[in-house]
Amino acid sequence: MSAVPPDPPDPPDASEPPERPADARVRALLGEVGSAPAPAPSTELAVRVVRAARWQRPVRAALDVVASVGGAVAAAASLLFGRRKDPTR
Amino acid sequence: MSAVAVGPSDEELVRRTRHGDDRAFAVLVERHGALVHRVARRIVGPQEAEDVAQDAFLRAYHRLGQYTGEGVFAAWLLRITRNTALHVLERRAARPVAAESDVDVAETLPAPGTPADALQSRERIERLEAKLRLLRDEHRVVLVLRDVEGLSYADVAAITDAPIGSVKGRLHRARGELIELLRRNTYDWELPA
Repeated sequence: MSAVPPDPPDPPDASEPPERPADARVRALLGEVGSAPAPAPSTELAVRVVRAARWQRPVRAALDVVASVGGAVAAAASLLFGRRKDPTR
Repeated sequence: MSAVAVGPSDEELVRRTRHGDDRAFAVLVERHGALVHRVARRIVGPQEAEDVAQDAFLRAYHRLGQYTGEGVFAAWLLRITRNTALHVLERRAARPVAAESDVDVAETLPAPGTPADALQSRERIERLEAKLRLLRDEHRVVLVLRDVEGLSYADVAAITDAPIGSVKGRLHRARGELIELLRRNTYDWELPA
């Protein structure tokens, strides 16, 4: 699957290609899949998501601080040391 | 994508979550969990569906600031789900794709009707889901969103970040790939010549 080259891009205004005889049957089969009862997610999904979000929040906030400090340091270093001298002077 | 929401709207729940009310986000997970899990399951398969669903909701939680409220929340969420699922598939690319024999027969719930009808229908659906998993990733995504979940072209375009014309073309090619797969199968899919 992954070895197959990607589809060529379509123009944004492409109209729907002509339907093949088997297209309607495929759509009907897939509609059958869609209307069949599917297994539900775990009843604890919401609990797990919120619990994980709560402990990730401070970690992400700390990482954001580190990134912004790093960015500020990099910007300051660039201002102080990064300016190239004009070679024509 | 017009799920009838009982209680506060999705946008209201997003607003409350942004203000620190995690219970509001839990309501969003409960409201959209089945849809996200279903789409994840049909893209990555049953084994990793729960992980993808959880990861998608977590990503959504941390990116709520990027949700502008202009589009439908479920479409925004499915876009994250699709990206999360494709990421899992990329990581899995080196591994063999789940074959038809890998289908968990007990995974799909019985369909209504007589026991014989239910069994036949369940078998056909399981076979078809296995065939779906053999498609190219992007083809599987558009078929799941459009033909299985019944979303509009506009929603599929928003979720896949593609123009509607591209979605239509991709759907056409995806159905073509599936038709070829089904024709190679000994099972009678009752496909017209």
